Amino acid sequence: MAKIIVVTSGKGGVGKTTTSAAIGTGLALTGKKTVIIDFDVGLRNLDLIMGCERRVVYDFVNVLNNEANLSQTLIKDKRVNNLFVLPASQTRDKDSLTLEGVERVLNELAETFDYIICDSPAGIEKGAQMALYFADEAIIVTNPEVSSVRDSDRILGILQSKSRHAENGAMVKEHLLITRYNPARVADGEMLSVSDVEEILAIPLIGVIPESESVLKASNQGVPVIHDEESDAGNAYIDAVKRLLGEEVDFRFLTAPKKGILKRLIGA
Amino acid sequence: MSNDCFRLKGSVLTTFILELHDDSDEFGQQLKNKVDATPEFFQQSPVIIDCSKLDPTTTDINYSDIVSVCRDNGLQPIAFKYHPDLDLSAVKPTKLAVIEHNSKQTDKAPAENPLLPANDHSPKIINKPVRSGQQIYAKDRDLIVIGSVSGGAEVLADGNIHVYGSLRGRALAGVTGNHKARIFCSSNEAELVSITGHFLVSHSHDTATWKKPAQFYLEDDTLHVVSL
Repeated sequence: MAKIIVVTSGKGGVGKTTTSAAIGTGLALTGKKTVIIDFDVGLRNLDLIMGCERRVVYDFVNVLNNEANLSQTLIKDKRVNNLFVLPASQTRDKDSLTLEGVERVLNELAETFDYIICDSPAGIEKGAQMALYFADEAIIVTNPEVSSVRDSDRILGILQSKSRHAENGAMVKEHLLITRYNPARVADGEMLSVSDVEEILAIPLIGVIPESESVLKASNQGVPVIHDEESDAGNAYIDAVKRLLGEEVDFRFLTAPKKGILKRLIGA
Repeated sequence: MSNDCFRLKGSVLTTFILELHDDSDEFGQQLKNKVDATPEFFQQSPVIIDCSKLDPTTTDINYSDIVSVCRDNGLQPIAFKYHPDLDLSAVKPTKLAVIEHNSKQTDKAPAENPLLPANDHSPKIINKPVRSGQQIYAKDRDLIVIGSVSGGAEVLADGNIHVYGSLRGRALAGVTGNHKARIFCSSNEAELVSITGHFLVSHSHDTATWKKPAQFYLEDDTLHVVSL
């Protein structure tokens, strides 16, 4: 039985799509057959981050409307076996999504895939609610700043009241993923620390992704950052995937590297 | 097929009940006036004569006359409903059925279900954090939250509020006017606390209790906060 994981946050621009691409790719690299669905109908982005925008023919809404079948629509990743993308439509809006349609597509995907990653749009409206409704697990992407944390708290409330599991009296398993973490600024008191965020949201931490230039570079090149083994962010995502699969991994990149005497002198 | 000549069946009929209050000579005239007003309505209707409201000490009631008056006015008496204290022998000559008045059924209020307390005031217990945007109201009772109340969340109760976690959102106790309601929390980081509408916002709190266990209560129409 496939595991349905929603990547959501409430707030926009915190790294949901980057995370969906990285976690999805990471799962596929461990041999799990994985599909990433872009629920952001009207603001299609996942295909860009995955570098498959030129290969989009049909989209999620076409499948929901029975205008195309899944095998025509799924885009196979060029780099990783077992990895597929179901792109959103750029010309429609969120009203194209219906619970019945989404359930039918998820059930069909569940027959062949191990993991279904739902890349949620920002907000708490229909698109976000559709993306999280059928989820078994949720990755809550949060930046270490107060508005992002509050929005994540809001989406956690919706997750535990308006999802299928919640309506059946069960729980959606929650994971906290902190992105754009800058230990130096935390030390200076400019940014919330991991423990501050954990204390407010009170859900288990699955990963801390350090702020990194490699994330922007990876997005622009259309290569999920998890492929960049040189970067801290890529390695932090690898750790997060391991934790998602149940492995215990020590957290890295939580403290600022100490500046050497030379660097201090030249002020770098 | 059965060879029986008849079958007995239970049935419920709707009939008139003629509730007799006074066995006076005026009864005949009053009944006639009533029937004459709408003669079609009462045409040959079966009727049960209810004598249970008559004074049980009266002995000289002529039941046969009552039956005759009814028949003269186009009603068909079928039975007497009867107070158990009255003398039955006087009814016998009329040859009508006698139904004993069941005072237990009509005069007493239905018994309360002993398994359900009339007012269930057991507290409402929430076992998970109350998240931003959520609102929880405990009507007519206390509210117990085992977990934190996030900023932007709101908890309300007609009784007391207990938060076994950080209270970061809003807590409103005694919302229907219970001045004795109190609010307790393991860590006071509340945005707003109110008891019967007397409120404090976070910047007006006593800083001594900030992020510490605290309770809020009302005294002389002023909301007080003290450490626990």
